[in-house]
Amino acid sequence: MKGKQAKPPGPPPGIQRAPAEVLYEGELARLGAQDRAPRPPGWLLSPRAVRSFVIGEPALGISKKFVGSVALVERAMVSLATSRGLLLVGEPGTAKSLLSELLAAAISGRSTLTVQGSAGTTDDQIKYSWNYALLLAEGPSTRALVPSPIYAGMREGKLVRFEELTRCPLEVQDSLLSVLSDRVLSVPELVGEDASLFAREGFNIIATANTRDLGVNEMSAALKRRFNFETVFPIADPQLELALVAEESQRLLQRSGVTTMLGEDILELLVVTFRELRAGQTADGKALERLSAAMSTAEAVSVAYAVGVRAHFLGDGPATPADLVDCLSGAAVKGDKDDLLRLRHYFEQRIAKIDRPHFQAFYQARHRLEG
Amino acid sequence: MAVTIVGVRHHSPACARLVAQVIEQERPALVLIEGPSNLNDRLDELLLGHELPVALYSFAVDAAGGRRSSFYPFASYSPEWVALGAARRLGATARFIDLPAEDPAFDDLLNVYSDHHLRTSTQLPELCARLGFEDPDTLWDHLFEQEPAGAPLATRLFAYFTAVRGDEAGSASDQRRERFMAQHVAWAAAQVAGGGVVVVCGGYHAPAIARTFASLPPHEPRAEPRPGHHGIYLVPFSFQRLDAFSGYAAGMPSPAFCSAVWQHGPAQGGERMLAAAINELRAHKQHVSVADAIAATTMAQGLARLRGHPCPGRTDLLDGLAAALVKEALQAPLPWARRGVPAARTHPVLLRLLQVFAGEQRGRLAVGTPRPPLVDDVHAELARVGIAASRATVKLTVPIYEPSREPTREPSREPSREPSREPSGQSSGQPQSVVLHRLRVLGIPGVRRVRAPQFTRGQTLLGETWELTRGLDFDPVLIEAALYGATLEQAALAKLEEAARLAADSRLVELISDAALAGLGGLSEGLLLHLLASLGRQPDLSVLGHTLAGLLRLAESEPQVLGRAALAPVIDAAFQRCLWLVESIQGAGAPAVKGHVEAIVALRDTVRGLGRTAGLVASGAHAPADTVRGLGRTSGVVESGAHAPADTVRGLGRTTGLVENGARALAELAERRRRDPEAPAYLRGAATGLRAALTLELGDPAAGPLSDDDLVRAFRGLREPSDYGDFLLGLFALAREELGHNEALFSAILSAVEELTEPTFLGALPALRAAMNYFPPRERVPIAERVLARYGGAGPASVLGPVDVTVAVLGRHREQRADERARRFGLLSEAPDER
Repeated sequence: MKGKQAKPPGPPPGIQRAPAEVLYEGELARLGAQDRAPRPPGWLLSPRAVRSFVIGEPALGISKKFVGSVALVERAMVSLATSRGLLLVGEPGTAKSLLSELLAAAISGRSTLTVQGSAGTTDDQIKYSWNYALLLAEGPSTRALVPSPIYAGMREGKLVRFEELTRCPLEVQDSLLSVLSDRVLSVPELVGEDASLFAREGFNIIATANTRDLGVNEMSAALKRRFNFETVFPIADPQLELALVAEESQRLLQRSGVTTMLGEDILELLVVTFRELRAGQTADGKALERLSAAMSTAEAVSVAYAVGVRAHFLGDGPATPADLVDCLSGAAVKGDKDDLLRLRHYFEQRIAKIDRPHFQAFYQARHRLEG
Repeated sequence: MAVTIVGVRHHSPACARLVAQVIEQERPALVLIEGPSNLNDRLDELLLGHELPVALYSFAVDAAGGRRSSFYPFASYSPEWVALGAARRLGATARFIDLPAEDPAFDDLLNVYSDHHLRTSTQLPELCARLGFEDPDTLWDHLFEQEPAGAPLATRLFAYFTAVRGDEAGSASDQRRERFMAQHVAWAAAQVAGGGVVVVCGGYHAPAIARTFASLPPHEPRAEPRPGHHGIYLVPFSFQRLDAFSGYAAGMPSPAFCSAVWQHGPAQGGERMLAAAINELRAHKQHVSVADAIAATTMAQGLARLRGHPCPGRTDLLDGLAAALVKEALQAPLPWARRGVPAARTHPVLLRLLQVFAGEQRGRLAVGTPRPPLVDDVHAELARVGIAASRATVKLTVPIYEPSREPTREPSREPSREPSREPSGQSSGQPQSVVLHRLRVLGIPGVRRVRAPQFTRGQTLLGETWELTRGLDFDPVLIEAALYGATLEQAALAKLEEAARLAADSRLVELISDAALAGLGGLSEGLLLHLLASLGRQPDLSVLGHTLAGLLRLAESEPQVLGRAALAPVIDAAFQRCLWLVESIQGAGAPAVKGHVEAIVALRDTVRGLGRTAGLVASGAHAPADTVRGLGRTSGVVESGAHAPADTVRGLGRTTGLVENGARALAELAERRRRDPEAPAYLRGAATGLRAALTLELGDPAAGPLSDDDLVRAFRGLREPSDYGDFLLGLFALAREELGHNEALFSAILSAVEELTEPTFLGALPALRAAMNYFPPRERVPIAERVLARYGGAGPASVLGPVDVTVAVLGRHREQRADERARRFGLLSEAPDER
């Protein structure tokens, strides 16, 4: 599956996306040199330095990488330093994976020990598998054993990321039990001291799960007990979100060679619509019907990107509210009939009543929602 | 002689410790405390040995009858309280040095010992951002509530408050208060020749007082006496009320936590709170294992260390408990991350934790404390409105409307364009009613409203009936109720506010109505906003319908207890939400839900006269004709069916977006659901009825009236005979007036019933019967006569008399059994008659 294997550090040229420890190598080195605070065993940086890395510290030239609650980052780090795993839960697109990547990069210097959970994830991706040619030739040996990211993390004392934990079948999730509680992985095929792999200091698991998938494969109570849950919320400040969406979509559009940028009114329409439908509440406190689709910031960025691309390559001029309506029904509603009903209800009951030109233009384009 | 000024944060245990320490060390002759100086002659009252928390409650009534009040709450860990105690113990003289409690400077301060300065300060957010804290409370805890190494607390406090104050001049009242306090300090310092002076005041004021007092002449400050009636009394208080102050009135959160820290020190106090929280959760059947408890402790300690605290503070503990105990995704952020009322959908475990940290301690006044003013106020109020309460039960009829003003004209088919009477406020019974309602809200035993005014036709009662007994528990309960305030009005207000915090939507409407009846319109309007926010999340159509109906009743009540302008947006929100929920009812075979049908009735009523009046007033148009209509309907003065000319109604309706949009949306909804094969029978019936009702009401131009053919086809299109009753139930609930006498429908029903076999008829009977319940007896008789006529009978149907349906069904069963038995024994050869 997609379980990414560790690669030697250093930024290979032409890769699409470098891991955080490569991208921010300089910052991590600076923080490491400055860091005098006590470190939990197995950590490369002290928790305070990790916090600075994640939420930024202008004085040291450390950029802000995660827009969210500081207390959340603190709780996450303390969980990782204790004997429980950390489970980041939240709506899709709330930067859970980003946070787990940043934490792993700062604490262990490596964010690539990752298990990607899915319906097809099996036991060996969590424990270990065999190189069958060697196994047949030599019998079971450490040489023939192919370590999983978790095996590697335990052996080297590194953080392991487990993405989308609840997408895995229950019995596969439960193979984490002994790893988390006894911190040991037994390899019954081997004998002697190789038969049990004891985790070194610094090993722990950061799992992520999105709330839309909880219930698809509910976690066992036994496993829940071994994790501390941290809920990551969407960005609370509308201005901050607007700025983030503008900045990110701009970056994506530039990369696609789109030169005309999105107007502020389009971005405002997009962010207001997303925020209100996500919260089930208008900005002035009136309750609304929430959409079942995740109206995340990441989703807003991709809709903004789609609007820009559409207007540039298909339209004749800057993006209009009508373009936004077109992209909304495809990207946000995702073919859900009930959501379409709710979205239409929202246009009738909310957008129609906002007496500003671009909102009215948006409302006038509502017939395009039929898709 | 030295003056030591200790600037404190009210209700801070760390500041209380500092105050105790300074007084112990300085051994001053005088301890000056920020507090109402008009109480200086009565300071002994404070030291009678009360159980804390208690509060000084001050109120003032001006000549125009305007009231204001504020509290000075004291807990055992309040620096002001500690200063009083220490002064008494060491033989120093204690004095309050602030302006008298009734001074206008306090008019907007519900809680004088609040942190409002910290909340309005422009410097503080900057300070928080610079130091990397998300809110001022966390910053405060971090800086002061622990005992970190470094500079002594007093120095750090002074630096903090100087930074918070910055170069702000303060508001005009702040400046007056500070001048007064500084003057007091200057005077007091001159009074004591030897021995020092310790001043305990709010940290925000401290820099200003310290700067100015030395240059002031040493004479005693005098405050202008305030005209009008005012007073200040001790009342019992509670941790919950201390914690519940919100907004600018808020002080330090979590009183129980503060109290534990004060008693046992930061480290031990924290541990105790952790244990208390875990015990409380276990007592509420939450599973908290030993491993969870260990994890919570470890988390709290880890967080404390990371954040640089010597031991876990308030947020460290709460964060640790939340991280270790909550095993699912949260729907709302941690409630202690920001100030104010926890968001809706906050996790129940987190709410429980907050409750534990707030605590349940209630204060009690020592024996011999002057009686709380509420008791006297209640008796004064009763006397004022001329109600005599005695041991014996008195039955009172309070006229809400003066009979002479009642319209006495004959029911007329001519619509009147003039309002039939003045809108409101003319009634003589109202003050009595307000006082009695307030007592009822407070739950005072012996005050019972036996009958509320009724506008139902035939049972119109234009007054309230009350029973009043001044039993043995009347006064004691009043003394306890003093907790809520010193005057009847204040207490009723606080009591309702408390109830509203936990109330569900439909209960909230009752509270809004109670508040309005008790003459607390301001509260009603606040609660309306609260309701507005929660309505849109209400998943249950029955509850929502009940709420909407309640709101409509409020909108149409006369005399007007609540402004229609305030009600309109809430009615609109409930209306929209109802529309949505009706849209989503599914399941063709679902049994009838009475609440759903009633919700649809409420929807209909909203776009009819009642809601329209509300909408009209909101949009600023005049609504005489509509008012008449709404009133006429409810008071039964205008015969039903005496509709105002359609064009007038339409013309008025058009001026409001609410009504026009709403009526159109509702008509469309009715049309959609009436044809929907997935809709349950009762809903299709109700939608058909709604459609018919709206056609008459609004003359919907697009679709035209519902034809007899449509109606009969809808009825014949039902799949099961058991659906007949449900369909008709919905239909008649919505459009009895419009369709109840429709010949085509009537014969369609009869022929359908004729085709039924005995058992199916019996199965369908209860629902059919329920549908007929929507007809008043007077209309049922002609229907019965028509049925009789159809089957060749004649004469008045009333001779049939009322028949109990269970008796009838039982009779038929017995008859059937007897027939069967007779046949079995060969006594009856032919088949029994069909009905």
